[in-house]
Amino acid sequence: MTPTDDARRLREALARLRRRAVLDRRTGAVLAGLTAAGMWVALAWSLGRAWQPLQSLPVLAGGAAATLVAALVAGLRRMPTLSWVARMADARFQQQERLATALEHGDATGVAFRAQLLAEAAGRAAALPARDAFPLRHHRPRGLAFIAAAALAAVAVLVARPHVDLAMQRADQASIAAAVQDLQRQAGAAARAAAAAPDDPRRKALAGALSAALGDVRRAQTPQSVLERLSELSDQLRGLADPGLAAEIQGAVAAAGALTGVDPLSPLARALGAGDLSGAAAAARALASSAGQLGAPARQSIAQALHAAAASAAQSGSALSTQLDAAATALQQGNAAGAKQALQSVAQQLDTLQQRQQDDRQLNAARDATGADQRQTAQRVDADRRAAGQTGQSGSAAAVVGGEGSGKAPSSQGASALGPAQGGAGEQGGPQPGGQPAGGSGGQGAGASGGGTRAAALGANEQVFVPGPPGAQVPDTSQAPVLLPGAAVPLSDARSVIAAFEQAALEALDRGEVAAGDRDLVRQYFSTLGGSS
Amino acid sequence: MTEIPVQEAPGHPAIDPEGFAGVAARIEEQVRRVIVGQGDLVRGVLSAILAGGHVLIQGVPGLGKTVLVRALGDALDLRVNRVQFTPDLMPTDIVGTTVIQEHDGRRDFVFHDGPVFTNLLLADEINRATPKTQSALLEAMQERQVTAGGATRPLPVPFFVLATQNPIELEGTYPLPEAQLDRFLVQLLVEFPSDDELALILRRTTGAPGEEPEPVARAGDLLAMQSLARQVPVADHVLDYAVRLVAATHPERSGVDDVRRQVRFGASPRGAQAMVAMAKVRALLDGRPNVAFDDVAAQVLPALRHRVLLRYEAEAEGVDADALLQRIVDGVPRDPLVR
Repeated sequence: MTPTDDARRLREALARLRRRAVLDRRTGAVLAGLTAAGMWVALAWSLGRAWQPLQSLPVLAGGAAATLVAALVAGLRRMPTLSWVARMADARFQQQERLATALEHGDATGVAFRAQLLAEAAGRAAALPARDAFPLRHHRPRGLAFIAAAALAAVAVLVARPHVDLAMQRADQASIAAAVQDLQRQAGAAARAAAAAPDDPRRKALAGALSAALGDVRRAQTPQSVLERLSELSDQLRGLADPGLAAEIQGAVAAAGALTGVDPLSPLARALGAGDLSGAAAAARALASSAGQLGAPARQSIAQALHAAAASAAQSGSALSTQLDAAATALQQGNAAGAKQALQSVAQQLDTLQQRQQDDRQLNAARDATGADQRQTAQRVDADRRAAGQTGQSGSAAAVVGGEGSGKAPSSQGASALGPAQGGAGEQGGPQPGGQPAGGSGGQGAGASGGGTRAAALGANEQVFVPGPPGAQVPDTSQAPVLLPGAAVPLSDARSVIAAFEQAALEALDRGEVAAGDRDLVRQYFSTLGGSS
Repeated sequence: MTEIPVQEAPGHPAIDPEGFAGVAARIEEQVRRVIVGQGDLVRGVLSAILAGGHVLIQGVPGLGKTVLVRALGDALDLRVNRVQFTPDLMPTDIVGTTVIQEHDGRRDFVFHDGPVFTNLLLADEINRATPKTQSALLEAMQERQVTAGGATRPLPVPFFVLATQNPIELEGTYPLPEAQLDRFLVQLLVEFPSDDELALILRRTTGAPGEEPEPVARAGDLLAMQSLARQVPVADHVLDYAVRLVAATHPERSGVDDVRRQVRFGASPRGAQAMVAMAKVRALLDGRPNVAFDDVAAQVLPALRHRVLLRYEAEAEGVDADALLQRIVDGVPRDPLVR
C-alpha cells in the first residue's frame, strides 16, 4: 500500500470520526441550549417575584427560546475539522499525536518517516471506535447542568417562600380581624338598639344581618370570602334603607319655613329648621297643651301657618302634612280638642320620624363601616393576587365583588339575563329612589371571556332582558325574584338599564370597593357593552 | 508495503528507524555493563549525544560520572579525553598551544593539539576552572572549532563535551556563566544509587574485573543517527506546546504565579531547541516516527533547568528550578483545543 493510499485511508477514518464529532457537538449544543433556557426560566421566575411581568408567559417562553437559539448558534457555529478530530482522537485514545502529525505532514513530499507515519496512523485510525471517540458520557456534566437548571427552575416556580407566605397569611388574618372587629362593634350597637325596641322589624333585621355576617366573617379563611360576605351584607343593608325617610325629613324642613313668623309656632319652626325632631315634637306638644287658651286671632294665624306648612310638607310627599292640615282645620274651626289631638299626632309623628332618623343613621354607620371594610379587604385581596402572580391572568376576577351591589347573587342571573356568557357582572346595584347610589358589580362567574359574547348579544337585533319590573332603572336586588326554570319573573330591557348599571359600577370602582385587579375587567365589560367607559 | 526511511550520512552506513532504536539499545546495554542503575542518566546522556548536544552532569563525586563517559566512548568507539579542571588550568591546556620546534635545522612554530581535539571530552568539575579557561570551551562547543595562534582548526566529528560539576564544596569554584550554561543541551542530575544498586556496585568493583564495554557503533553510525533524528516530524500544535512551555518560564509572560514571583530570567530559545531535539530522539528511541506531547514534556527539566535564573525569593523559600519547571509542566495545557 502506497503512502497515498494510506493518506486516503487516514482521511476516510478521520471523516468517520468527524461525523460522530458533529453529532456530538450538536448534542452538546442542544444540552447547553436547554440548560441556558432552564437557567433563564429560573432566573426570570425568581426576579419576577420582585417585578411580576418577568413571570409572564411571553417573557418566559420568549427568553427561553432566545437563549436556546443563541446557545445552538454558538455551539454549532464552528463545525469540527479533520485536524481537530485527529487531535481529539490522539488525546482520547493515547495515540501519541500520530494522527494529527500524519494528517499534517502526510501530504508533504520529502518528509522523512512519511510512509511509516501514514501507515501507522491510517491503521490506528481505522481501528478506532467512533462511538468511544465521542461518547455520550462526555456530555454528563452538561446533562447534569441541564438537570440542575431544570430543578432550579422547578424550585423557583414551585417552592413557596415561607416567610412571605407567612407574612401574607398574617396580613390576611389581620384584615379579617379588622373586619370582624368593625362588624362586632356594629352588631353590638344594632343589637342594643333592637333590644330597646323589640317591635321594630328594621332594627331587628339590621341586628340579624350584622350578626349573621359577623358569624360568617369570623369563619372566613380568606380576605376574598370576607369581601364576598361584606358585599352580601352591603346588599342587605341597602335593602333595609328607609325609603320614605328622606321625603319625610324634607317635608318637615319645608314645613319649618312656613311656620316661621307666627309667634306661638316659633319654637316648633326653629326646631324643625334645625332638624331637631325631638325638640320639634316637644314644641308641638307644648302647642297642643296651649291650644285651648289661644284666642281667635291667634288660632287663625296659627291655622294659616299650619295650612301653609301642610302644603309645603305635602310637596315633599311627607305624611306630616295630613296631621298639620288636620290641626290647622281644627284650629280654624275653633275645635280646641281636635286641634290638641292633631298637634299631639304631629308630635308623635315627629317622634317616630326622629326614631326613624336614628335608625337610618345607625344603618348608614353600618353601611359606611361595611364599605370601609370592603375597601380594606379589596386591597388585601389585590395584594394576595399580586403575590400569587395571578393579577391580570385570572378569568375569575369578577368573582370578587365590590360595592354595595348584589355580589353574592347567583351568576346565573347575570348569565340568563345578559346572554350566554358565563358569569361576569351579574346583578348590579344602582341609584335607589331617594337613597344613595348603590353601586356594585359582579356575580361569581368567570367573566373574563364573556365580554365579546355580551357585546354581540346587545349589538344584534336580539333583545336582551334583565330581571326587574319594567320601568325600574335598576332591579331591587333585595327583592330579587328567584330565577328558576319556568318561573315567571318581571323583565326589563337591558338597554334601558345598562347605563344605570354602568354608573353604579363605576361609582363602586371610584370608592375602591372593587379589587384593583378586577377594575379593568369591569371597565372592559361595560366597554364591550357599548357603554361610555 | 510501507516505505521505511533509511538515512545514509556521506561516507557512513545507512540506518533506518528500527536500526536507530536497535543501535541505541545496544549502546545502552554496553554502558550498563559498567554502570549500575542510573537508567535516566544513561538514557539522557545517550539522547543528548544522538541529538548532537553537550551534556552538563551534576552530582557528587564517586557516582560514576567518569565511568559513564568512558563507557560511552568505548561503546561508540570514540576517542575520549578527560580534563580535570582546576583553578590553575589555562585555556591552552585545553585547546592546545603553539611551540617552537626545530626540524632539519629550521625552527618553526608548530601547534600542539590540546585535549579538546577528541570525540568525547570529559570536562571534569568544570566549575573549578577560572572563567577564562571555561570560556575557552565556548567556541569549541558552539562552533565545533578552535581558533589558536591565528588559525582556526576544526574539531573532530563527532565532538561532544560532557562536563561535570560538583554541587557541594563550592568554596573556590567559579559557577558557569549563563552564556556557558546555555551551550549545554541538557543538564542531567546524578542520583545516589539505591541500596541494591550500591551492593551491586560493590560486587562489581571489589571483585574480579568485570566485563568491559565493547564497541557496538562507530562514529559514522552516530552521525547517521543524528541526521535521522533531526528529520522526525513534529506537528505544529506539539511545537506550539514547546513554545508555550518556554514562554511560561519567563516571568513577564508566564501564567504560573510562582514563576512570575520567583524567576528572574526565563529559558532562552536554545532551551526550546534542546527540548524539541531531545524529544525527537526520545520518539525514535520509543519506536515512534513522530513527536508526542509526552516527549516534549519529558525534556522540560533536563533542557531548561540550567537555563532558568531564579530570584533570591526562590532560594530563600527553598524552591529550585526543577520544582518550578514541574509546576509549569503541570500548569501549561498540552492541547488547548482538547477538552
